[in-house]
Amino acid sequence: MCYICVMKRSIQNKIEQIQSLAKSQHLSSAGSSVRSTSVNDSLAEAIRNEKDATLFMAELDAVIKIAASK
Amino acid sequence: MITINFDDTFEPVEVAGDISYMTFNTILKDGGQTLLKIEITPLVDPLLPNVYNLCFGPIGDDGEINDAVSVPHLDINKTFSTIILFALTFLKINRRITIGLDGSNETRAYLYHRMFVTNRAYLSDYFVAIGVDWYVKLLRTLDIERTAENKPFFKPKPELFDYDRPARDMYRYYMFHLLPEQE
Repeated sequence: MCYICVMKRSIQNKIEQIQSLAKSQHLSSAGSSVRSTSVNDSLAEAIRNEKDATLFMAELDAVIKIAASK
Repeated sequence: MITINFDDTFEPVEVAGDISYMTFNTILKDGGQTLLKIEITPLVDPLLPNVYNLCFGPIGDDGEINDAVSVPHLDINKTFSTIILFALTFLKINRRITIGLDGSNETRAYLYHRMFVTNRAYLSDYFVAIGVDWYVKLLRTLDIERTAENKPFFKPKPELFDYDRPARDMYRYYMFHLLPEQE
């Protein structure tokens, strides 16, 4: 059964309210500023090279797939 | 103990066009209110393009979130429900992204850990909760693998959140991903 189909209507309404405000307010993205917490993020610091990143992302994807199969 | 309930959240004030941030007013214990901002932004690491960081807090004089300040929330459940609902909204339009919560600070790690454990049933309808530990390789010399600076060479390893782990054995980093659509 699709989880979206059983999401409460009240919660879906709240999500749609946020999405509607986003469309109507025309505010720019937050992504342009470099946040100190993002710069000092411990996961970003632990991933030192592409090999580390590839392995981590593969393991993360596998974990998500396991959750989906349950 | 934080209880998440998406039916009890604060009203949004501002929302970025790409849902990267939202502001809302939270009520304080003294009856006043303060504007909080939630931001979901990519890590400053091009090697992890689908891992984003969630940050929240009052807005400082520089216009940036001050996540170090302690806010005396009247209803912390409602505040966190608002934050997690916003994260859900973000992830619904960015399904490939996983949000990360840095647990390097003990207080924050305890907060995140307890939030996931306390709300396991509720949040598992929406998200996959992931815990990340740091591991180091044991060499045949019985020393550990070290960096060029002779520090332990820690490698992060994600796993499905283990809800049986006690609070004293918290993860180093917490992540959550939108629950993949079931067939």
